[in-house]
Amino acid sequence: MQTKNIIEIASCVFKYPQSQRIILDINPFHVRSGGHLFLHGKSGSGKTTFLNILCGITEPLQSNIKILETDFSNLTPSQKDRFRADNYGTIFQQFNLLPYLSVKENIALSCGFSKQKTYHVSDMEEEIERLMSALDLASSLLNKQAMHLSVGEQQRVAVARALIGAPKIIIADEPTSALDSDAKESFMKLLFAQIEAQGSTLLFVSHDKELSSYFETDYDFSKFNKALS
Amino acid sequence: MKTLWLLTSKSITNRRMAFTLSIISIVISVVLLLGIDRITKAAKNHFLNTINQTDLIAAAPEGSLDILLNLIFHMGDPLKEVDYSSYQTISKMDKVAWAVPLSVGDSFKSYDAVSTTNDYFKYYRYASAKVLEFSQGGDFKDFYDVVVGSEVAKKLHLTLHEIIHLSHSSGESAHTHANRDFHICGILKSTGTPNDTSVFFQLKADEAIHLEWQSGHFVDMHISSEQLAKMNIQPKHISGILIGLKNRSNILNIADKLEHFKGENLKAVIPAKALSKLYVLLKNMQEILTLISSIVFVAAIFGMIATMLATLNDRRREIAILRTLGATVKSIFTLFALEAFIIVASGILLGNVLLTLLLILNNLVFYTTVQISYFPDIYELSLLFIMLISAIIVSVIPALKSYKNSLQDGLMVKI
Repeated sequence: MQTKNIIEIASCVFKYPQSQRIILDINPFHVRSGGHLFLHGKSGSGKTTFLNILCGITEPLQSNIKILETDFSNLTPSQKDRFRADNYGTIFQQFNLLPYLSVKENIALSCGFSKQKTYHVSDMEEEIERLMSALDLASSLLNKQAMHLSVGEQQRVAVARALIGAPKIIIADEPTSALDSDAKESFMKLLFAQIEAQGSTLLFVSHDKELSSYFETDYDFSKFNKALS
Repeated sequence: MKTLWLLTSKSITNRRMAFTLSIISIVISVVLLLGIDRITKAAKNHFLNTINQTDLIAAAPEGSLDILLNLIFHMGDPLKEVDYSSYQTISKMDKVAWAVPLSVGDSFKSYDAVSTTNDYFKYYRYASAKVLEFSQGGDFKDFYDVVVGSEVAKKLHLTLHEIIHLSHSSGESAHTHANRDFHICGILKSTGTPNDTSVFFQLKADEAIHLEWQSGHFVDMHISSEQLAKMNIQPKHISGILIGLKNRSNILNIADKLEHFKGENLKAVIPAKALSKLYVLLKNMQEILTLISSIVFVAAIFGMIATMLATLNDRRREIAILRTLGATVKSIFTLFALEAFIIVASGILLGNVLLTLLLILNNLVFYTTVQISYFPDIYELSLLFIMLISAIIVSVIPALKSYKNSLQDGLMVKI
């Protein structure tokens, strides 16, 4: 079976509206389906801006991006919102969850904005419980408000939310930086196990080079971004 | 939409302090806006419904509003007196169907005592031509009979045949005619007019009990009530005359005749015209009060928006998370509109409940003849609807600000 390219970037240029300086000019690259890509780089190298563009929240100055065989660059902002809802699962450094919702509501929220994700989940309760146990989360946490969870628990709930509805692309932005080294290791193992089980493609951004051992492909974002060199 | 409802309700619960304060300010403005509308409308109805089918009122020359207020509403400064003979002449005029003499100025406790004849109960009409009815007893039979209004009876727990004592004049200068027993012969049904707060007795009895009043002082003439009744005393002065015509088209003609009345200076007031003057006054007052309460409402809405804007910074992360999960611009605007809707709708609901409770309480504590409606009418409902819509429209302001923040923040809020 030929592996398709999930993300194909021919060009992507960004500058802030008021500024003259181009801060992002990405070298052409692609991510294959099911691939795990590790982007590392110093803070300020434009990693987060790049992710914002890939998610369709930030508009680039010029771009030619194909995602899931869709001409992503030419989508309208609201089409991008829908695209993101349907195809992405996202995990951040911290504060991933709405503090006033329960764990269960936080996980299900992802499906609340996407019919496609909802379609992939036949039984919401069951799927949430399955993901919780796969991610080593006690089922007693289900109805607990997110604000009462430890940081490690919160990050794993964020993974569950990113995974539910089996989105094709998982984007992780420094998801381990708030975790200590033991928690980091178990987090990475759980994340990989679930992503592989689901066959999702992972785009993982971090400044922490140690994590590169988990990945088959590893890019230095500073070299990747022509604007910095 | 289900997701947005869940988010709004939980998010609001999370910010319940600011949320409650916003609702309270809406409740206050709703109570004020509807309360003022309710009360001014009730007052307007009360005034406009008080007298009907009386074509003319004749009294000593004064402003037409003064005459109306004094004779019908028992308010304001006393009028100059009219000769009883004028009443006798007018009642015999060709085109006059009926005439009722009235004398106001005396009192019973804090209520007005009006002396008249049985014709008053026969010809007085209020609202849409309603007749005065008795809940108990009937009109005057004996010399010292008195008919009491519904509120007087209710407030003072008066019953039929009970003895009461009227007072000369009213207010602080009132002096009770303690030696003259009046018997309650009838109690009127409630009408929502000043009749409810009045007692009525016969003109001749009025004249008789004032025999002992000379130059404003009581002089005991040692005449028994029975003797006094038999003295065939004729009234000399009255305050005014209510007149009904055989043909209403003669109103101007008769009014002119009365104003050039032989023997005495009279003023003829057309009640409908005087009431419309009153109506204009009330309408102006209502408009000013409505304007004030509308301003209070606008202030409450801006207060709500200010609160929403103030909590926006705390919600940046929340909105960023939702945007990441795929919440569209439309969803964000809907979230704010829902929040504004919930705040204003609860404010309206609670405001209405509070107003009704206040009005019920008011009715329990201060019995009043003014009938205030407990429920909003079509005008008020449309006002509330406009409130709701305008609140949803102005919720665009914080939504827009929040959306701009989310564009700036991207996926990760760095605060």
